[in-house]
Amino acid sequence: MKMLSPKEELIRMLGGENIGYFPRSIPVFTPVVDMMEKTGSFFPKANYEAEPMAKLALAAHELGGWNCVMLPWASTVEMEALGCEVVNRDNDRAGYPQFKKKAFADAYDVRLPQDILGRGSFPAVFEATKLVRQSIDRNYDGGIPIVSMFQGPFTIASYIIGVNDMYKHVIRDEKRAAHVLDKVSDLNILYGERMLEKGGDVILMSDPAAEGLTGEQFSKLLLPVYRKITDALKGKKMVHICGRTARIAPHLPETGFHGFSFDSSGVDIEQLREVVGNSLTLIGSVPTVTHLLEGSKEDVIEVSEDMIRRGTDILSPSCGLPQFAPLENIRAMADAITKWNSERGMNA
Amino acid sequence: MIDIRSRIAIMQTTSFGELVMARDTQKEILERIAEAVVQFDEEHVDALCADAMEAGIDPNDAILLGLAQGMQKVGELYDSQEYGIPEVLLCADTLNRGMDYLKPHVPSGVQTQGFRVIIGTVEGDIHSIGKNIVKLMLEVGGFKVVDLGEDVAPAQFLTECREGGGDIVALSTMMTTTLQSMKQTIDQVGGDFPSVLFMAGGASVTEETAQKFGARGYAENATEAVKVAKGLMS
Repeated sequence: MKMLSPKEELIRMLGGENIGYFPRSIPVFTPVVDMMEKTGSFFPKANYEAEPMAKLALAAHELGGWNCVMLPWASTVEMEALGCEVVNRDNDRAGYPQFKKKAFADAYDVRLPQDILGRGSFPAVFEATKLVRQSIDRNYDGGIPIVSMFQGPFTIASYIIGVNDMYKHVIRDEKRAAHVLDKVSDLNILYGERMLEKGGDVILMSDPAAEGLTGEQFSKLLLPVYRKITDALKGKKMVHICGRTARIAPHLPETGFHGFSFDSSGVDIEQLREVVGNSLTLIGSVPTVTHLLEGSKEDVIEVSEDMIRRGTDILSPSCGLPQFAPLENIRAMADAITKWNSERGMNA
Repeated sequence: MIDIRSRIAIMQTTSFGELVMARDTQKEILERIAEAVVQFDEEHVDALCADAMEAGIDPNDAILLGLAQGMQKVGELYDSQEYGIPEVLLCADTLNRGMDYLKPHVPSGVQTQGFRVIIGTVEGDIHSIGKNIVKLMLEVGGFKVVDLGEDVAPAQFLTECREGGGDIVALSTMMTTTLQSMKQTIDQVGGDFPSVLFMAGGASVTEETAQKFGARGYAENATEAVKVAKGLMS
């Protein structure tokens, strides 16, 4: 059997197809320090300038062997453009931009400026996506997928109006919560469309703050917003929510996302599979702290194989990578996939 | 609401039967306070605390057997995933409001054991919700808590240890990308203040990680955190 390109594998897996072997793309990526050193692309620059951003994004494949590239990584891109105060520490070359202050005093103040996509680091993300696209087309015949990541509506909403206010509105003032989510999802769509235009292949929406909602709250408030986003954006789409997602999982198949990147520290794959069946492609979930950061190469291979055996469809870290996770542990995930396939007679 | 005041009026006499009734009523009031916290009934928690004071309930009992009891139930509902963060935040507001009412009634000198906890979310992490609940429960549990807030640099913990002194430094982080800050804080503060004990918690922290970083205490949730803190001080 001939193998497909990693991009084709990812897209078909998200479409629910059986490709006959384990797909090689590892889609949820954030850079580690070893990669920054080897590429000479450090934070904060790599979060604000196209060239270092593109170099570091390509490192996922070129240094990590992940058969996939994902950008951007900072969770602050949207909130900074919307007016939140965000700081970067000059002496911290591995630290993410830090949220400092919310942008709006009240939910009803939230508005999208006309030129929103020209603000903050949006232009750098678009330019970096273009550069990555060119490099992948040139060097890999376009066969490595580019994942375009954006923050989900509940997470952005929580930062721009204040996380306590946003959560409390869910119960005390649902209209305010819905207003913010509506505005933010307009931005999600504009931003997602633009990243796809610039060369992104697959969308990843990361919405960690949604974990705090009960199933009922998720279904009532957030489900329609997710649907609005997935209806508007073309192609295959994945959603990542970390933590204990068992209670919102039953609603995920209705969201219009094709894949769910789950966090094995908060929910078991067996439990998830029972709830979502084969209606969602499950993506995950190698523990970031106990294995990728603190474990050995062998530990990572073992837990990766265990994940595949237990039925994950696509291998990925359970959450963002701790920046000091060693490169050999990052590579070990890709090694585990190669090993798995070759033991079953599949070689690239 | 059942008319508690009329029951209290009945209690003013001293026959044995009525004393039993008074005790039942006290229990009932405490249960209602706990229930107000669970149902995040911010509107009525003041009145219930006032009822407790009128019924002669010890204000410390009202805090521990009423408010804190309720918050413990809230923690259980959160762990079992019946409650989400919206509920927990509103329950904590209700508890806070009750505390504000009851605190002036607590005779000074008896409300704390004197142990001082310095708490904060580590540098680079701005998550506050879990840390605030732990702070609240530690206060309810009788600790003197100094909250340095979120995104707290090791130097700020050092300053607080130097100027105010601390028995426990409690650190929180939610993100895997800021675990390193937790380690740096423990290294630096522990280096200068070897007698300080550390507690660590938050979504990205495991018991093993906490131990490896040098934290003697680790807790999964706020109720546990109070037990762990008491254990460290005993």
